[in-house]
Amino acid sequence: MTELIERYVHQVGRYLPPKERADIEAELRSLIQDMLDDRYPETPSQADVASVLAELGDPRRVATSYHKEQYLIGPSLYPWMMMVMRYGWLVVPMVMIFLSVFGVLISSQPPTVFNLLLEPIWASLQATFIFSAVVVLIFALIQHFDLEFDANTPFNALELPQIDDPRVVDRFKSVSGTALGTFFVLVFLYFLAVGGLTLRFNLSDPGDVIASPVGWMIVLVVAIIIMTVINIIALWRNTWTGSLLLTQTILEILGNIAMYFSVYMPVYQRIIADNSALSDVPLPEIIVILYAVITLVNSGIQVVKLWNYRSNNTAHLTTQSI
Amino acid sequence: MADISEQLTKLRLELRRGIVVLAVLSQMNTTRYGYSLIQRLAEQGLTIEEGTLYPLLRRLEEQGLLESEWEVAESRPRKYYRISEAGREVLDVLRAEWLETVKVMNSMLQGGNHD
Repeated sequence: MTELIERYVHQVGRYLPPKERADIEAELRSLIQDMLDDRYPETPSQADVASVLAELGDPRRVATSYHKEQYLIGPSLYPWMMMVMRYGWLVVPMVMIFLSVFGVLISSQPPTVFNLLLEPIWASLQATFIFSAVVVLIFALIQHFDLEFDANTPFNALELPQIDDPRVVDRFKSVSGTALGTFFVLVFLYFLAVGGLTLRFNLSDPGDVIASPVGWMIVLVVAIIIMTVINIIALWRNTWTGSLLLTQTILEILGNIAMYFSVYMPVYQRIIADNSALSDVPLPEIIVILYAVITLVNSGIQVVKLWNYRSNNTAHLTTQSI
Repeated sequence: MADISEQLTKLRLELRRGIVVLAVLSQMNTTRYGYSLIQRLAEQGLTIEEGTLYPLLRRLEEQGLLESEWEVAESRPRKYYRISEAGREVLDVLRAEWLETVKVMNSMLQGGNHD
């Protein structure tokens, strides 16, 4: 009889928090005895013990009822994590596909369909998986150490931004812009140091380098540095102004042109040297024009919004003050 | 549509969670061990499962509302709980709030919802 009880208590104990295990086990033993005494005043049979244990329930469930509610990532943190995740799921695969196609194209071996299709997919799957794991890990640590976001700024309803306020800084866009900018600056400083483009990041042995005009590389680095600084300023102030946005747009176009001369053209010429089938397509020009159009349309829309908003709002303010 | 009985189980659980704490605290002026408390509550019409009560007792102790002591002199060792000073203060406040809530809820639930 006690043997069955011990087996049960042992099973519960396996899932208990180690610190409290002995105490909970002892209390559980005494509870089972109390239940048996209450229900079977004469010596209980094995079946009686079994029915009492069945009433208490599955050992694992009994054990979990002693645990506090624990989260890897709690409900208050979860939406933040998913925001970061969704952003990464969009950006990471694109960056990886770009990088690995670039890598295949400039490698000394002629590209095959396998290399060109499967490698980028595999690389982006891998990177997305690692990215997700790191994000979960970071948020789990935040949860574990109970860190809070923005806890020291009290909420003031009157300072809520207008729904269509174009000045509001998209934090994720700016943060990722800053991170990407820093990354590209480092990469291009490395290219400058080794005298051209390569995917092997080793200063003493950069491998097969594609020559690239130094002047345009410097323009690109400077443009990216200024754009990154503007991003940080916008983040810091939490508003975009017309002049900041305009500078940002001009720099983006300038950077785009610098990309054309320092990256697209040299890489394209290398590809053509290996693969003449592509020689009819003006790929670099297409990329540059496409990018410039997208930039102009995007910033153009925002500048116009900003302008309208400002003139509307000053009108509002004057009527209000009257 | 979601299963009504499933919803009911969840809602009932939510409703009971606070009540059980209050019920337990109210009965702990005398020293009791878990099973005697279950019987005591059952006598007064509140059934509560062992699997709910024992973890609850430990939680209330951890929060400083109950104190405990192992009694080993008897035929079998038992863990005895009683209300702490802090628990008594908490109980006083909760009791007042409960009585007020019952008054409000009674008038709401019995008065119907016609204005």
